[in-house]
Amino acid sequence: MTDKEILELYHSPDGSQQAFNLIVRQYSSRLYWHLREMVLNHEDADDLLQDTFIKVWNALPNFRGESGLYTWLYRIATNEALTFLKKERINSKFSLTSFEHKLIKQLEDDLYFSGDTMQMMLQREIAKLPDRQRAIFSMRYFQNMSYADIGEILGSNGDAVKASYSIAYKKISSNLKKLI
Amino acid sequence: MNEKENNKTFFNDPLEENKLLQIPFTVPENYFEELEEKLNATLSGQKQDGKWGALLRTIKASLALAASFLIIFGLGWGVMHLTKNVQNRSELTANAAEDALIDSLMQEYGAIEIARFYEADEEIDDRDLYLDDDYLDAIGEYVESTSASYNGILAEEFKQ
Repeated sequence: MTDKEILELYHSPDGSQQAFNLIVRQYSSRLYWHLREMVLNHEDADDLLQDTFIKVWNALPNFRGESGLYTWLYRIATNEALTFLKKERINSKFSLTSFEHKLIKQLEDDLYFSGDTMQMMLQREIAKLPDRQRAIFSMRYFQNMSYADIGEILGSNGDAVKASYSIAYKKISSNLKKLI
Repeated sequence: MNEKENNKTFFNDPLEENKLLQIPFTVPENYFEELEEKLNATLSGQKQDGKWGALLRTIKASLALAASFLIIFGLGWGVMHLTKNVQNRSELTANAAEDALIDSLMQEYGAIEIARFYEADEEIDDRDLYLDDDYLDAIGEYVESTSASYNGILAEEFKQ
């Protein structure tokens, strides 16, 4: 079912719940992996995904469809993740370990990490990026989204997103070359 | 060849390796299947916001702040008003006690002296205060005698 059809179903009498369930079914996996790449552990990604869908449910009556449903959902999820990470960074200021170190430690202890050494190295390098740049890298590298879409999600323009991605890519690639 | 040497051999840009393009995480079993049920259970107790509901949610914090100010202002005004009433009441009680004392003193010592005591600023004619009966009689006799002799002098004058 297309986004347009889902929205038509949502606005039909008694169609809101069914349309919402379709959105969850269609987008939960993509949004989850996006959030997981941002926060790295399953528990936080799960909480953020549920918060995202609750916000979606509450905001759907006012969604006018000016942007695509897909970019709108990603914008809500990304904002949730960035707000969460900002709070975590503030909290980590009062602890002895840095936020990046905490993220890497979580990654190493994660029971649901299924990659090899090389993939672990890549995730460690991604964890060192600033939060917004990590979101850009994750959306472009793993989900192959266009710069324009990423720009719309982050409220930025495509060129700025492209420049940021390019810097992150070179940094990670260079660091990986040194490690292998 | 170990994994490190293998990586060096097969690619120049490590990020171009297909394996790295895959997300290396898994989720608990049936996570996505159960997510929909979990969300519906959460949302079943929560009514979807309408247009006004969303607006209310946005201005809720401002409304709460305004309500706090009103409550604090109301409490302050209430305390001040109550204290003022208590003060007025105690002033009234004190005035009533003073009036009763004045009444009893007036009965005992006479109105003029008490009035003079309480109205010290007002000019009171001393002659009014000491006009007892003996003094008034003496003045009457003096006036009569003086007027009699004066009448005699006048009669002599008219005769001439």
